[in-house]
Formats: sequence, structure tokens, C-alpha cells
Amino acid sequence: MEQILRTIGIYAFLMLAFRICGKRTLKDITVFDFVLLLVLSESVQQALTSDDFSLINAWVIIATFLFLDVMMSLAKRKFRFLDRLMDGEPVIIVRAGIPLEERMAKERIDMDEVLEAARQNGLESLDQIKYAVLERNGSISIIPAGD
Amino acid sequence: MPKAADRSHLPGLERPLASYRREWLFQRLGWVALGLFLLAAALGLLGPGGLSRARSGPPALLVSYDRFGRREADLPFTVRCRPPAGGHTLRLAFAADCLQDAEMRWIRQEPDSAVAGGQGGVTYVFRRDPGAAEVEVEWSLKPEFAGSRSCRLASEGAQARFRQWIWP
Repeated sequence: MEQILRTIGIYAFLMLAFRICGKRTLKDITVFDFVLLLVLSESVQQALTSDDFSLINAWVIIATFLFLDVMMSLAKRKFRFLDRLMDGEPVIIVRAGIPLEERMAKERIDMDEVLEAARQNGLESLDQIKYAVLERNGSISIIPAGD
Repeated sequence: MPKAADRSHLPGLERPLASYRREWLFQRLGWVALGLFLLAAALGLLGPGGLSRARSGPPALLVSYDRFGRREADLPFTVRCRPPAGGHTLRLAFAADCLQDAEMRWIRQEPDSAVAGGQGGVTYVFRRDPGAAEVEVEWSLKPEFAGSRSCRLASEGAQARFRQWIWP
């Protein structure tokens, strides 16, 4: 029981911590972010296993994480506010070719990233963008302006 | 004749709905299995705690133990002995099967001495207050194998015997 509670505590803390850190994608990860994740996983591993290195303990921990994740996805589907609370909402950062500076600043997105996403969609200037949306997973979606 | 790359690949991805439903059913059964597994763990069927706690032995040598333990993890025991009045020592004998393939992590109270018995058993000798009606001894083992294990304890003519299951 203690093991399950400990795992739930770490799941909740990690969820809160990553929510606070904002939207980031793995494709944008820096070397330092990567090292940070490794260090983080090592410290979490020690807190999770404690002195119990049995196989069954590893199964209990894995099962708890997966079960929490499934239950959380079901709960988010049922309660929209939970979905918004956990994963945030998409944010429009460019509208009709005009960058929304405050939103970009608060989300720590710079113009280079928007233009990079535009280039990946075959666009070469801001004028050609109808909407640029910072998605919940941290990627930027581009809706091209119509002719 | 269109080239293969020009044709849509989407129709090839389509499967009968029954096939998807089988997969969804499998997933949901898996969720239930995960839930039951965690419930068993929470109740103490996959290690110490809850339903795992048990007692064995006569009132003079009452052992509290866990029916289920885990390999390479602490497995706590408590024994309450009621030795005959008088005397300054208490002898608690562990049969060989208690200590076989397991590491004694700690024992409290601290024994005065430990004497190797026959066939691999160990007898611990504890100092005790002659006026005390009950002496409590706690210890923790770290099993080094998975499977069924049995244990026999003896103290001042009383005996206790129990079995445990050690998960891998």
C-alpha cells in the first residue's frame, strides 16, 4: 500500500512540476534538458524503490503509473476542466499575420520558432499566416491565409 | 496506369470494425487486470501489510509475521515470549529453515549471544528482567530467493511454525 501511495505522490508531483514548467516538446529538448531528465529519473527511481528491489515491486510501480495514466485520461475526457487544468489549452500566438507579443512572451516563444513552423508548412512570411497556434504539446500549428 | 506512390494507401489501413473492437476490449480487460493487481498489492497480497499479516504459535511464543514477502526486501517479524517466571535470560531458537537463503538484517532487542545449533539453526540468548511477564523480540530478514519458505521457532519449551510465500 505504501508503495502505491508513494507512486501516486510522485506522479502527482511530476504532473504539477511539468505543468508549471509550461509547454515544451521533446523535439526542442536541449542537451541540458536531457541531462536534467536523466538526473530527475534517477532521483525518482530511488524514491520509488526505496530498499525494495524485488521484481514484484517494480511491477507494482509500473502498474500504478499506467493505471493512473489510464484513469487520468478517462477523467480528463469526462471532465473538461480537468483536461484544461492538466494539459492547458492551445494558445493563438499569431492572428492574421500579426504576432500577439504578450502571449508569445508569456509562453516563451520567439519569432524564430514561429517562422520555422511556417517554413515547415511551405510559408515564407508572417503575412501568409492566418493563425499560428501553440498546441498543448508545445508544437506550433500553422493555418495558412487563404488567397 | 497510376504508379503505386500515386495511389492512396488509406484503404489498405482499413480493418473490419470487429477487429478494432477486439483490440479495445483487450485494452479494457487489461485496465481491469491492472486495477485488480493494484488492489491485491494494496490489500497486502503481494507483500507485507494488510491481509498479509498473520500470527502463529501458542501464547507463550506468539509470532507475528507476513504471509507474503518479497525477494531482496525487508521482511519483518515480531515474537512475544512469555517465559517462565524467574531467570535472567531468554533463549530463542531459529531452525535452519528460518535462516536458509535469507540475510538477517537486524534483531532487536540486541541478543547477548548467538549459538550455532545443529543442522544450521541458531539460538539467540537475550538478557531479560526476571519480573517481566513478556519479552518482545523483533527482527527483519531479507529473503534471497522466491517461493515458499517455512520457519520453526522454539523458546523455553514452546514452539511456533509458519509458512510464507516470497514473491520474486
